[in-house]
Amino acid sequence: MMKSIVLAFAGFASGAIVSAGVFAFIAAIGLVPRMAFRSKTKNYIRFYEDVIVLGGLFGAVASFVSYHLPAIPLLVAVFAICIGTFIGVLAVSLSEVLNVMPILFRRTHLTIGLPYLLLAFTIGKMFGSLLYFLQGGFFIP
Amino acid sequence: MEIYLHLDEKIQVVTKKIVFLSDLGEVFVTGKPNISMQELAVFCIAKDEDATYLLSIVDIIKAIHQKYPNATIHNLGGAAILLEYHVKPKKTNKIFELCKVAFVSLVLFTGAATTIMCFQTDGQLPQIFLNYYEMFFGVTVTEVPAILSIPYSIGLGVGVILFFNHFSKFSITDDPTPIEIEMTTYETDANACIMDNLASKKGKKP
Repeated sequence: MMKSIVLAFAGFASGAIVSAGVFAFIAAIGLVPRMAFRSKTKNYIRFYEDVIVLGGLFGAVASFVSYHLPAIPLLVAVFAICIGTFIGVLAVSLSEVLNVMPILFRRTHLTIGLPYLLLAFTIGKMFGSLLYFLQGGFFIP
Repeated sequence: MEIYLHLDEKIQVVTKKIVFLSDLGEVFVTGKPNISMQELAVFCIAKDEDATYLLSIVDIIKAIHQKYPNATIHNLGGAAILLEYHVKPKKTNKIFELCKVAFVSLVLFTGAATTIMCFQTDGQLPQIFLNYYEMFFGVTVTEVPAILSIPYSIGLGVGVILFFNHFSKFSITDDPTPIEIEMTTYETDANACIMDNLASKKGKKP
């Protein structure tokens, strides 16, 4: 009986810390403010936080509960586009990437061509992702 | 007569092309209260298009000094003001805004779900829970038992609410949430960047 209580408490505590860590990561990289700023919907930030909470719960519980969502290809495609958008914004929001560009420009004394370099970066990411999935051998399925 | 200035960092001006001192922020005049600062024009917008202008506090002091040469001016605010000029007031299309909110919410929902799934797969959390169960009860199981998964899910919700300080209408304290703080930091940085760009265009910085 005592063991069950301790085990339940261990599960509860790990849930609290894991979620705090993951969502602190999402908040700290400044992803949500950038998207809110760009879409001019600053007043809805509290709503966005609620949405992040629900999304996190949905994803975390997916390890234990087998969901049966409707099998519509359009839904799956929209889902995949949204995941891709998020990972794309995440990949560029990380400080490493955000600092690489300015340092690269200073070292090479470049003053023009910033938009083209960013475009090349974006197309490179898309191409790399396509290659990763369509060409075999990059990961163990 | 003494004039105290506390001007805002960023101002939006719509349609009218003459900017008065009272539009820019707080002004306090001691000595001669019947002189009105409302009619003191400090800047005239030249072009008829949407643009952002950088006003230095020195230009404003020059404009005040031309009209009131005997005044002592104290500046209590920043050294530059960003002036955004819009030709027409922006019509906010409610449906478009809701569409944008829906899109961003969808991206955030799926992204948060995927992020936490990635985190759990990376750390092999189900395996950890199976180990916990074996440590306590000595029985090897293949599926995560309910005694661990349910408190874990409850803990997730509580952890997030503790961190974000609110969920829906329920909130713990009245502080701004971490994401609102990030938003303010981002806006301050964005304003500083715009001021930098405009100042270098004016030729004052290399």
